Amino acid sequence: MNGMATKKAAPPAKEKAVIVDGVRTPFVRAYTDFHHLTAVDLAKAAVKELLERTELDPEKIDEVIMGCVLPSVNQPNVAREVVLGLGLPDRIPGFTLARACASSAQALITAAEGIMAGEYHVVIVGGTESMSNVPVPHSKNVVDSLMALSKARSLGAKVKALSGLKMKELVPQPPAIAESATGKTMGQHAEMMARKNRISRQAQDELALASHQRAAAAFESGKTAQEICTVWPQPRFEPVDKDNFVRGDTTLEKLGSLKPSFDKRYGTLTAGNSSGLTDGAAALLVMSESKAKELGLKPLCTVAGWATQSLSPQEQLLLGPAYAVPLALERAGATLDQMDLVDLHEAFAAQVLSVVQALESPEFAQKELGRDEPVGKIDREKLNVNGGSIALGHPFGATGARMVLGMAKELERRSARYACLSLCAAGGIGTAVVLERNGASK
Amino acid sequence: MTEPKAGAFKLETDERGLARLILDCPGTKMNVLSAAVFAELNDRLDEIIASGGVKALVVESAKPTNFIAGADIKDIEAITRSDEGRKLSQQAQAVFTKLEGLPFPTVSAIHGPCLGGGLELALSTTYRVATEDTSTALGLPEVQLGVIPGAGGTQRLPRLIGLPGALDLILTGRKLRGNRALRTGLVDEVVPVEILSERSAAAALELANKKGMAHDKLEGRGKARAGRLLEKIAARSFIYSQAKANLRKKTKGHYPAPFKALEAVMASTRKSLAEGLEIEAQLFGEAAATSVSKSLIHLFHVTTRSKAEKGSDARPVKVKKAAVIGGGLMGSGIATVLADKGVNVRVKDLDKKALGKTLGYAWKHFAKSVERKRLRPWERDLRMSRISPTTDYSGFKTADIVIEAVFEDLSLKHRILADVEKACGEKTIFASNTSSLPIGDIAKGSSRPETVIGMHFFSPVEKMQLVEIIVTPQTADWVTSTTTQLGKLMNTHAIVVNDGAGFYTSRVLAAFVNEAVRILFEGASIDHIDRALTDLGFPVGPIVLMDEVGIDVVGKVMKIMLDAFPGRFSAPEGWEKVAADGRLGRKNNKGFYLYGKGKSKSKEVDPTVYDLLPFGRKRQEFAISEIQDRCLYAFLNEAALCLQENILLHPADGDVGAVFGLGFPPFLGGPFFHMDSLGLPEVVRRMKALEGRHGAFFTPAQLLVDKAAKGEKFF
Repeated sequence: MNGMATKKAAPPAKEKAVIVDGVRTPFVRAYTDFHHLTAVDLAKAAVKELLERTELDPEKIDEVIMGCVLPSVNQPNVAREVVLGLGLPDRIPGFTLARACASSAQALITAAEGIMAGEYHVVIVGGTESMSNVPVPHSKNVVDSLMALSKARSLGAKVKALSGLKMKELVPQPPAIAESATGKTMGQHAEMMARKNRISRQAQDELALASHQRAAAAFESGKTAQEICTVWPQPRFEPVDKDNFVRGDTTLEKLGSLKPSFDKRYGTLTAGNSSGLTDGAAALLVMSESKAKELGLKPLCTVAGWATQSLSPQEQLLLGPAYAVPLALERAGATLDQMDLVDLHEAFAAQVLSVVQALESPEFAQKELGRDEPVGKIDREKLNVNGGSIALGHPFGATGARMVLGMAKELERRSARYACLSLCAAGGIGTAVVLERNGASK
Repeated sequence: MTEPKAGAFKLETDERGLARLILDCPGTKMNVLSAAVFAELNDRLDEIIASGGVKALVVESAKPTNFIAGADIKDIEAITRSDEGRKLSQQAQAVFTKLEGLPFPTVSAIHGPCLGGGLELALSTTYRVATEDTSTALGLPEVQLGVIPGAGGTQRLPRLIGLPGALDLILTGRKLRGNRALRTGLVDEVVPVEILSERSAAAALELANKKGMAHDKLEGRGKARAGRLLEKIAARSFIYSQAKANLRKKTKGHYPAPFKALEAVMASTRKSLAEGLEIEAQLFGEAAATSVSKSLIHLFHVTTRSKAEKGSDARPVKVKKAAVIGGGLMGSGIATVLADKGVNVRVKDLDKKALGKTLGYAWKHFAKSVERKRLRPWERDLRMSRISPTTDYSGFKTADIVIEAVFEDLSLKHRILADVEKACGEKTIFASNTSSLPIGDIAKGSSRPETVIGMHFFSPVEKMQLVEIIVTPQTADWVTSTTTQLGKLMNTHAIVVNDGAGFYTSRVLAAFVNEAVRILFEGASIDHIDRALTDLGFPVGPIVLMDEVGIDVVGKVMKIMLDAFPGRFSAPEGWEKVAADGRLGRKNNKGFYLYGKGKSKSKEVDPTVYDLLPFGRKRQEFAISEIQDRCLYAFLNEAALCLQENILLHPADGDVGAVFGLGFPPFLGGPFFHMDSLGLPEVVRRMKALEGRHGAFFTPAQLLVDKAAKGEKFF
């Protein structure tokens, strides 16, 4: 289901995918509490607790699908590692997929598609990222020299193998979060979008402030606790049960005082209105509607529609959601107006505001979507009601599942019907998912 | 050698001149070298020699799981005089000397246990090929049965791998896996199990043809041995005195066999093989005739029996998931062992920090295994993943069993029991790890008392190899068998006992400690009492034990015993002053001994505790033997009462429970075996004498009086 050509709604399916429950780890700033946990460790913590809370017999699981952007070189198939590392039944294969920041949203979509196709009935879906353990590779030249060294027999050959190396090259290169097609970092792209779309510093800081305040309020009210599990990281095993990014006490003044991060002279993006490097994982229990019924489970919501769209990365790299949202809504048979909740991943405040602006814009609708009417206006009271990635942090692979979990629980709390969530991802991709609370339809 | 033929060997010879001698003891899973098997081997060797045309011989096992588990214990057990033992040893030695003397190369093909006589057989062959399988274990565990290797092991092992390596194996009875055995030179090759037979045959032919890998390795071994001859006499005597000092420290003089083994091994460095074998046979005979050997063999039998314990004939449920309530020391230990044995365990505690400590406890245990290369880090992490902490009852519904390990408080346990019954399914077993509260009292708080059972673990759970299962008249059979199976999976030895105050172990321990406290209040000094009992062979003295367990906890148990057995148990007047002084023992660094920073390992009595006791700091002289007798007979009598009252179902359980749970001296074989050894009339006589001096506590159990009168024994 990609591209404009398949714009028609999917044929009526026998099975619908429902979300039964979910759990996430606290999201913590990289190199803090979860410093010693790998992406696999974090995923195991979330999945284990999900299985405990749902009391699901692991024998019933058909598949485990995990999103992870930068897995460890030694454990690239995170999902399989979770299956084996938790001692789940060996016959559950497990696979890991990457669609940048939309990875775990894609994991959910893939699970839903498999359920519709009759391939699965019970799927553990999730995402994980340890930005504290990003693989740091050596340059090709260093790797080549080391390979030559391992093959060299004589001392002379060994010396020769290393002779081509410069000292400077021996320092490993941490991966820059940059677009290879444009050579620019994400931050630079978002800065560019802020300029093009005329998003002010003030507007960005206000969105960031709301993100922190709402995340803090959700924590205070105990909402977050319903989603989060305590993690006891080795080797000290001190309990971690809070997101440590959230600053409920921040103010516009404080945010306003921060220096721009990407364009130091003229920029408007700061560490305060951007998401930061984070460790965390989230897991969802997804089932076919019939299976949930058979097991006597009351699902939180149905996965009603989804879409992934993309555009050229050159100018509006992170505008993908503006393309994906209308298609996902259409496939769900709903409109933006009908949404009780909208959750837009906050990679940068400037990007969220750019997407909101595009969705409201008649011009964007005509030129980019071929529609007469704009997609719609998003009531700010419905947007990112419990904060977003600016306040919570953004473990790439985990954010999509975190948003799905948050929306599913919030629909339940509000007895509301619809939620739409969307994430921008590297390469100019946008992914959107529409959730419909069970029993709320018609 | 007039034994009947065992029919255990098959001999096959092929056209290459390769003979295969295949051992397959009829009717058993394990190959065991009985006197009959030895006799048959002797005949077979004669046959091979007579037949001619054999170029090489492979000795292998037809059993899929083992090479040879050892010599037949029955033969050793039957020895009552040292000359009988010497004869048995000489007969075995003669057969292996014949094997060693064959005029062609011989190869042992080893997979699975290759122990005792089995390894001695392998040592008599030219060359050894073992599998890399984890089940492959080579060792000479004879000292663990109070004897020494008696079929040439003390002579051939040091000749093969050198003095230090041989002493390490023989004095400890330690077993080596294939790869370790290869490194120490005990085996020549380690191969995958699939090619063992093929490779052993090839090696035998290589040796016969004097070319190829096996031949080269054998040549290399000769050189290495020549190098070892340089071991100086001085080094030898140093090794000897070191080993002897170590043994003294470890055995505290209670176990003669390792010393005899040391003498035998040392003889190998000075004497010819024939002379060495003669010394070995003599020392084997002496060791086999000791009461210590009889006690240790008895323990071997009763532990084998407890391994087969089922609890009931009902079909047990396989426990896939357990829950533990209470993340303290016991809860942590229980969770650790469950996780180690492949059981998922949900651990509940109200305090997240306590749960962190539970995980830390498990981590420390598994990390140590990683350090010792027994686990890979991945295996450690898998085990850690099996433990999932919680502060609520989520995840309990899928538990097959809930083990409660909270404070000893009946109303607290009742509250927890009610919560568990709400959170769990009807078929979830509720096991209480109480050390003293009667299970029947706990079950009174249950709406389904048939699922309530006692599971008494000992601290530290991961080291103590016992669990005491306590059943009430209401406990369902499937609950008993399921719990027993789990207990055995976790701790090797399970004993099943009937309910009563203190069950078996806590009750006999209470009697022991109670008597020690009475002696203390009669004026004996603390360290004197403890030393008397460690001299007797207990790992710690009763007063140290109170500090370790917690003086408050001992007080609670004592109260239960006083209530249950008024007139027999009695707390000395003023006993409560000790606890009232804020002395809890080690846990608050205030007890009978001094604790805290700067304190060395050797314990010092806290003199201020005497101020709370009769006679104050002026302690009275007590004969060591009086302290020993009073505490030991208090223990023995209480054990007999437990059997009389049907708390214990069998005296074997009493011996297993006392030795593995309470540290009763293994060389005495357990309280019941010890009473048998002393003779029941003698036991009754001494108890009556103690009764005269120290009162009703020593009134001998009627069971003892009756059995003594009838001339019966326990075993």
